[in-house]
Amino acid sequence: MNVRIDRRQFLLTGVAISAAGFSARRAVAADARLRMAWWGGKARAELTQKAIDLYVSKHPGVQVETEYLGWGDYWARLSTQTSGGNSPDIVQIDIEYLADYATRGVLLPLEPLIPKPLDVSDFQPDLLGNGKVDGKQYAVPCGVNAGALVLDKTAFDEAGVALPDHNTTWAQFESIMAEFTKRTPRKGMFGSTDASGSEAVLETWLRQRGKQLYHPDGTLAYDQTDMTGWFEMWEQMRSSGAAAPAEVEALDHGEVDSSLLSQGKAALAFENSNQFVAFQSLTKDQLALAPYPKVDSNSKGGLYIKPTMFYSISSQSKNPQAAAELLDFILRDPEATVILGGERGVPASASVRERLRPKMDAAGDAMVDYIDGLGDLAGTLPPPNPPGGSEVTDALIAASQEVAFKTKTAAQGAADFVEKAKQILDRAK
Amino acid sequence: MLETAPLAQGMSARRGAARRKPLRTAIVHSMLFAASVLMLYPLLWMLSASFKPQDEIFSGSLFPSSVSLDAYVRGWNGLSVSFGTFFMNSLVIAALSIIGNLAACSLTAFAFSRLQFVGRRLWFGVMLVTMMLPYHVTLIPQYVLFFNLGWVNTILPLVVPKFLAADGFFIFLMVQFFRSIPFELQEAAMIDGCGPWQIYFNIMLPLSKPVLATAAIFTFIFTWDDFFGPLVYLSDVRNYTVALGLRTFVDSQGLSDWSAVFAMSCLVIVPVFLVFVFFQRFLIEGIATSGLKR
Amino acid sequence: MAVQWKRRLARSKAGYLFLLPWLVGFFGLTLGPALASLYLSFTRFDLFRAPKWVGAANYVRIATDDPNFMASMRVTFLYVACSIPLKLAVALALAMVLNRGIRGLPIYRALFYLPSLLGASVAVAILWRQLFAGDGLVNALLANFGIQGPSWISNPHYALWTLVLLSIWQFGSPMVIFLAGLRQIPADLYEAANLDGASRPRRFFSITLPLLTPVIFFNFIVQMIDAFQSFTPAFIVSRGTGGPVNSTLFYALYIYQEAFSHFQMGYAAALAWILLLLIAAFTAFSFLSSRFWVYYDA
Repeated sequence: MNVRIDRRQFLLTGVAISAAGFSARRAVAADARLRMAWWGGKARAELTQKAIDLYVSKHPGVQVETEYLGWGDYWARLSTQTSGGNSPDIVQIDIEYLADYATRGVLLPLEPLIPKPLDVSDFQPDLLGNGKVDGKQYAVPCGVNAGALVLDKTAFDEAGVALPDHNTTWAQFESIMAEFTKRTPRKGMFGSTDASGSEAVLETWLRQRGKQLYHPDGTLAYDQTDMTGWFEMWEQMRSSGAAAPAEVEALDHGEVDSSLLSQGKAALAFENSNQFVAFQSLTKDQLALAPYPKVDSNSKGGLYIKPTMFYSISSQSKNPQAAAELLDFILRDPEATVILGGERGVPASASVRERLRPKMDAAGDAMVDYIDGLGDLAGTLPPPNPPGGSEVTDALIAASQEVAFKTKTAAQGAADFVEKAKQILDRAK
Repeated sequence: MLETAPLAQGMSARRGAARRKPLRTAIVHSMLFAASVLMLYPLLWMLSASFKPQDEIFSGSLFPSSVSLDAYVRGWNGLSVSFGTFFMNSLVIAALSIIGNLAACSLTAFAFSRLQFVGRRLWFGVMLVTMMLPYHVTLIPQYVLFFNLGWVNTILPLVVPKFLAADGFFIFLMVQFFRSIPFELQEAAMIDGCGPWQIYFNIMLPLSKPVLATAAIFTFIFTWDDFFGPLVYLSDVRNYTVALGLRTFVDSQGLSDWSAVFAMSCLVIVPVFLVFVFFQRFLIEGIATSGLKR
Repeated sequence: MAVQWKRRLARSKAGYLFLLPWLVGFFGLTLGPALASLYLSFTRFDLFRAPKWVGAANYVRIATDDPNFMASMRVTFLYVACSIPLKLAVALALAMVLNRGIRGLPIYRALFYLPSLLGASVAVAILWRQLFAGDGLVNALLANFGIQGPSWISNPHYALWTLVLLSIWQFGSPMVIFLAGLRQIPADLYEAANLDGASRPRRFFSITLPLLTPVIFFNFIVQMIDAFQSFTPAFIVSRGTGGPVNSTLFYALYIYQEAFSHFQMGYAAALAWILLLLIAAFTAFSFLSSRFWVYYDA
């Protein structure tokens, strides 16, 4: 009997404590209460919190609540909150979902808030343009990056194979990688990952051939013939041993940790330049960056410098003015930008970049050097993905696997995929 | 009312049988041991990995060359709020959920299994159907509901449903067990003038310790492991539960730190394991029911 | 007639009093959202804009023009059909063994429960890859016998089976329920059987099994409802992709993708209600059949 009473008391105490704790956080009244949400890890959380604390110390009337999660969960929660009318005021948003949110009216067009309180005059116009949907500015870029090969330089040196460089063509790429697979002393390691399911790589390849993913009106800008060529190119790479076979490639779920490069099953991966640091932290080998291969030595590079991620203000915000003031502080304040550094990518504001450059570490330098060294390999930004774009991205992965596992031929897979992509885009309009 | 003599005899008879057959006992033991090693190998691997330095994790040997607790320290502070807070939050939610589930579900189950009322079968069917709708599609309407009640970012959306017997699994579980408790007891009590409340408190609950313990264990485990509810309803990191904290840790950056992920994964199991070991006693107490006069 | 009804209603009062918390929860928390999702299943709802009524269009598309629906049905049925009998058999067998009066058994009970405690932890994904990847532990063991195994977890022919194994590995919950059930079988029945000289298999088939049928029935129903809605194993192991080549695209995972990744909540709701009807049909059938094999209050 005694035991039971003790336990009950314990539980009641627990309830009391928790009730106090949970309620205390909502009790403080303030002139403006803002909520800001992002995906990311501890470093991002701590830096962002520090910048926000600085802001709050300068604006005593403002209270800022922060919410953060990992990538996958972030979108599930944000869509639920937004659907329920309870979206955070400032949200971090990715190009993949920008149109999905903007066209459905849950993001605030920022024009009325520019240039005051939100001053973006020294942002590169084409980068800013990437945050536009249907001609309206829904998002401002946090930082920039570009598509890049992340290469395991140590493994290439061991195999005695030269790294691909700025002039490598896809045909040369294949023979280099097949050569690597043959000569590497490491067991179970292939030259390249199979990037046939990567929309970003497909986009680069299309742009090199004068095409693109989407027309400005949001319809598909490539056809079955293009896709057949694409799938056949990768089929050839798999059969020559240049790229990892289907069964190995399927272990890769698109994150840094499951990447074949991180698992020691491939000597390079098709990624973005800002992921360089994350990859390097997972291996003792020395890594390097290079652009994607080209169609032929005279073709364009197909790459472009793009925003890593954006900030947007929710249309459900009760205080967009205050939200914009905070956003401006985070993007441009001399102190805040030094605190935040290049954690969300190389800052998009020219003046901020100038100020930060001397403070960059080695990995930051490598990223900036890569982007500065792209030269004319990088072209203009494409229009943002239309609604339904994220579903097409998923469909491409499935289609590429069907071809790789030989449940469909390249031509069949290409035809089915293009058909499906069109259906998806139609439905999402 | 309870005849305990046959119980004692039954137990001693079984124990005696075991003592008389040492060979059989030894065989059972060795088979169990082999099975548990096979089953637990992945967990042992994880435990060992949590003590290893990063570059040793995937290099074969199960035993770490040196034991280091660094990963536990790194993992514990892996987010801007320490795991201590997450553990406290999870414990509070789990404790309240257990109270809610045991109280509300046993009442409901008693009604379904022991009381005659108009519409019983209909409501029972409805209760079962509530278990069948995938929660992802009721999530948004439910979120709107809780948001309008002002419950978002509190533990109420996670706890209040437990006090209203919202999880059909536990009702159904208790119904099945209540139904196998002999009706004669209830009839005898009714002849003695006991009402439904007395029968519920004095007969059903005391005789249902095994199933109540089972329900308590499961409630604890389910709430401890649940990440989708906390994900949606607890937006402030300081209110995160352990499961959500672990996911956020892993999802956001932890994968560059495998050993910390394994360390936290091991640590997260400990409270659930302790709860299981603790409540096991009540599972065994269930033998008492076997002494019932039938 | 009226008197009889009055008496029945009077007797009903107690029943409804006990049922009150559940009724409040049902009408206050469960029914509304469920009906809302039913309504949404007849609309196009992208989460953010007001739902637009489209009649039965979602259901028509499911029935006539959705290869993923068929794929996920196939995966889910295979999973349900294979994982449940195996999981229940393993759980019952171990519960029987662990129910003996042998010293040290509580330890084993706890140990066998451990994998289930891991639940949907992210660590499971990594562990399973360690075991079932091409260079994983399972293939290392097979290599000793000269067999070169495939990469089980990333091969569309085998990926689902690694998830079936995962489900069986986590047999702790039904095991505990079986144990609790075994505890409720009166010991004197066994004694009587012992006196009659009944053999061990005979005792199992004429006492244990019949008296355990309510629990077996419960485990079966619950595991079936659960397996049809199985989400987390695939969500964790394939990181929500359902790959490779949709080989682990569980039905509930497909619902989740449509709802939250593709902003097709109306369609997802339609998918969900089809699943509900399916599970309800199977459950109803099981309840009908239970009259012939489940014994209450023996």
